[in-house]
Amino acid sequence: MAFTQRLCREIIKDHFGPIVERSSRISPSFAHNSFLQKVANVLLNKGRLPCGAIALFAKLTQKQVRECLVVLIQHNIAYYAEIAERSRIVVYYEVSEEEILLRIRLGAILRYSGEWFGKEGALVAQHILRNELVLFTKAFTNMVRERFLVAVQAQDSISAKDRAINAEAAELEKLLMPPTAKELKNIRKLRDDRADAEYHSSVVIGMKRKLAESVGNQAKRHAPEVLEEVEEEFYFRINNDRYNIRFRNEVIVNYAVDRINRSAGIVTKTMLDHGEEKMRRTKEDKSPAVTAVQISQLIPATINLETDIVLESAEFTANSLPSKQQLVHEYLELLQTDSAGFLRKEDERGAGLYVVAFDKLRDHLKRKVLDSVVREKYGSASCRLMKILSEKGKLDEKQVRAIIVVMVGMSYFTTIVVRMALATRFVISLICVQKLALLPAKETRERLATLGTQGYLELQEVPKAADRAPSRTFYLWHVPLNQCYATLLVDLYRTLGNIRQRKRDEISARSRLLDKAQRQDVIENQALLSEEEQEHLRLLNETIAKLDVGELRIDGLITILRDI
Amino acid sequence: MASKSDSQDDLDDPSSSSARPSKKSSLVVPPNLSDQEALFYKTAAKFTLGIREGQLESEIPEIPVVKIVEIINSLSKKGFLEILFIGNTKAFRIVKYEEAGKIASMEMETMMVYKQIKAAGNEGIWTKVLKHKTNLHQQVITRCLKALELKQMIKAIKNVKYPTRKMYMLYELSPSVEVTGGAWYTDQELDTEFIENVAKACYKFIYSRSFPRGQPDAVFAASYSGLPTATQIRRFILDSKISSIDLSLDDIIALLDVLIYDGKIEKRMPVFGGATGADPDWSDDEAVGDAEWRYKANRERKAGREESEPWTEVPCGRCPVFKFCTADGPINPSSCVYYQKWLEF
Repeated sequence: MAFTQRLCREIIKDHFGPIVERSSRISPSFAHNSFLQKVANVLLNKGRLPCGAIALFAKLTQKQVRECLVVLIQHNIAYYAEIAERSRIVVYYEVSEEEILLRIRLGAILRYSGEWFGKEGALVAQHILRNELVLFTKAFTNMVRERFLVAVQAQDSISAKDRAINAEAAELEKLLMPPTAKELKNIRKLRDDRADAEYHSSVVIGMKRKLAESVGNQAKRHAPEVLEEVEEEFYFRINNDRYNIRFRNEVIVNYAVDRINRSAGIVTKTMLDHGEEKMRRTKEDKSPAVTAVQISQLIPATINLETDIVLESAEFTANSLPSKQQLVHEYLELLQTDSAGFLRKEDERGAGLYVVAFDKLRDHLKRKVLDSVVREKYGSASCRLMKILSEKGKLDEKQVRAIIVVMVGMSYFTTIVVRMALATRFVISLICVQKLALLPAKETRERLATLGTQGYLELQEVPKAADRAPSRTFYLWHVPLNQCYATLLVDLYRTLGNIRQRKRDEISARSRLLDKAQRQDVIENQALLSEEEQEHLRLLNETIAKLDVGELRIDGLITILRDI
Repeated sequence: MASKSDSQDDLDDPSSSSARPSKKSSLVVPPNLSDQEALFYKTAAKFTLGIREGQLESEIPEIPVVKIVEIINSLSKKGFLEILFIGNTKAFRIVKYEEAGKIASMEMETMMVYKQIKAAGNEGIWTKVLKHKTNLHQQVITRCLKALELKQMIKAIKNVKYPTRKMYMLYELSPSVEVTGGAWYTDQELDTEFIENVAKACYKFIYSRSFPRGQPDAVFAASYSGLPTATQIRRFILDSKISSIDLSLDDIIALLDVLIYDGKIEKRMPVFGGATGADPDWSDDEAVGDAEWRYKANRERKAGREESEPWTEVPCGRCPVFKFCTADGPINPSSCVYYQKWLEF
């Protein structure tokens, strides 16, 4: 937790801190950004607090605190909650770590907005992030329609949990008697369903539709064209979920290219693009279904799929080239049979109804990240050991026999423990591991111990006798996968914190030079900088670039571990 | 592990079941047996694991039940028959004539030791277990073992799992895979270099069969049937003389499993029907090939795109003191030497 908070502090310092204060125009009216940092830090450390307490801890006046909170709420980092305590209503404030951590991705958001919606899109995103007025351009309308921007509503400043609690309280108030457990359950389910339905509704808030003026006869034949416009009284913010979906889709397409080839990537991308409008969250289990025919129609004719697939069937000889639909079918088959499990066949309808299996891919990609980290840090043999340990689902007979032989002569209780362990297929003894991994016993033991101390493995003790003597105990290893991912994620946050700190140090060490370089006269005339100064400036830029690249790549891992 | 088993049968031939008579060609019936004793001896010899108590009546109807006890007693007294317990039932197994001669000349203690070693079969028996089972004094056991070893009736072996244990087994047996560790062990040690070489060869072979040659980004269709099976891979390894040892199919499968765990290859269920019909000569390659797993190589990482892992590219991913590093502690990112080195151009 401490390391996540530290990263949050670094981000706040970076986005609202003294550097920003000096070099950019973010909220010019707000002069004391260091106050904002103080407030954010207090909320990060202490959790939910009322305004007075924040002022006390941050050693600021309540007015200053309130100003800071406005900015934080405006940036969607802070939430408030009104809570009735006896006769009065107390307003509590909290900051959301998740929202702050998502700010790491602002750079990527700006870049991709530019890529997807043209220069205008990038400008729109930039303006919105700076909380400036936005001109309602075409790119803006597109971004709203595709939900990359969402309208801000009053309840958005209340945390999701509070909203749920409030909704529940409102329902309960309607009842005359205290609710039974069943009623309470119903109310909660209703509440969740409603929130879900709202989230998934196809109506875009902040858009209004109007009929286009009919142009001649054409309008009679076609359905009347509907023009969509953004309603001007709404405020908009970046929709992180939507951007994350795009990022997730890109990760999957790249993975398909890596694992199979370019054309498989194209097929996957077509599928994902087709269903993208209906995707709302990254945690969905599968993409909207597409039929094979639809996919082959969606792939533009200019793309040549047949060059990089070798079909051995007799139907496709030199004189009768396979049709596009056949090719697409082959690729779908490939993607489906791949062990990463890109696709799942839902039905036979329309030459097969396919979905992208996000749930399976998610596990696979996470696993891949973990494996590569373990391989790089502890060697491929350790990675192999971990794989063996976690693939307990494939316990073969020999191992079972080995374990069952040991079970003779154990107490009844112990036997049950081992049986349970076997049933859950989570544990495996050292001897079995070593045998499967084809590694010397000594090396296996050392490697397992290292992985154990690093938190990648856990040990289950099964005592043979009631005295629990170590010599009469089985030590069975297992991989707590979710725990591994969580540890890894925190380690990555910690690394990001380190990178940011280092970056800040690098900048502040050369702050005088930077100040000079940013002076108006120096910008106009570079010759005012000495050769040495220019060299230093170049070095600084390169250093920053290197740190930024590292940060970006790590953020890619975070996307896989957290957002996919 | 010398586990105690209630039947003292040495599993010379585990595939034959005790309930069925087995055919043994040359059987020397010891002289100076009565007719009925000889008949019993011959009948019991058909059962490698011993004739069960309940089978006696049906197998040797010529001898009345009352007589049988006498015969058994006299045979066992002469040392031609041993009595075993299989579960709760008794079974009788003959002792070969030449062996009986050897044993008969032994002392009582030596005989006990010999019988225990014999019972352990090709797994061997640890001296400590021997002592426990025979309940003899250590010195007596040592003497017996020496005598037996001199006569070349037993031999000392080494177990890969417990290299320090002194173990013995019958001279004429060869140690089991459990004891020697199988093909991957040389001198009781896992031959990692050898394993690596064979694994590399396997991987290359599978890779060459998994992707079309000459087209860098091309793939085979899902119905492609040219993926190798373990049998084919074994044949390749044997033919290419990579290994001087005869590797069994199980050995190769163990090695392929390791490659799977390393993420280099993956297992595929064989494709049935479909395009396989187009290639008629693939199936007579081997008769059992249809039901076997097939192996497919995973594409090697593309150079340039992912030359290093994102985390380990940054010093923190490989940092030995990562856990001690804090924002303002004695180890901190601001004064980090690894960063210094990394950021040098």
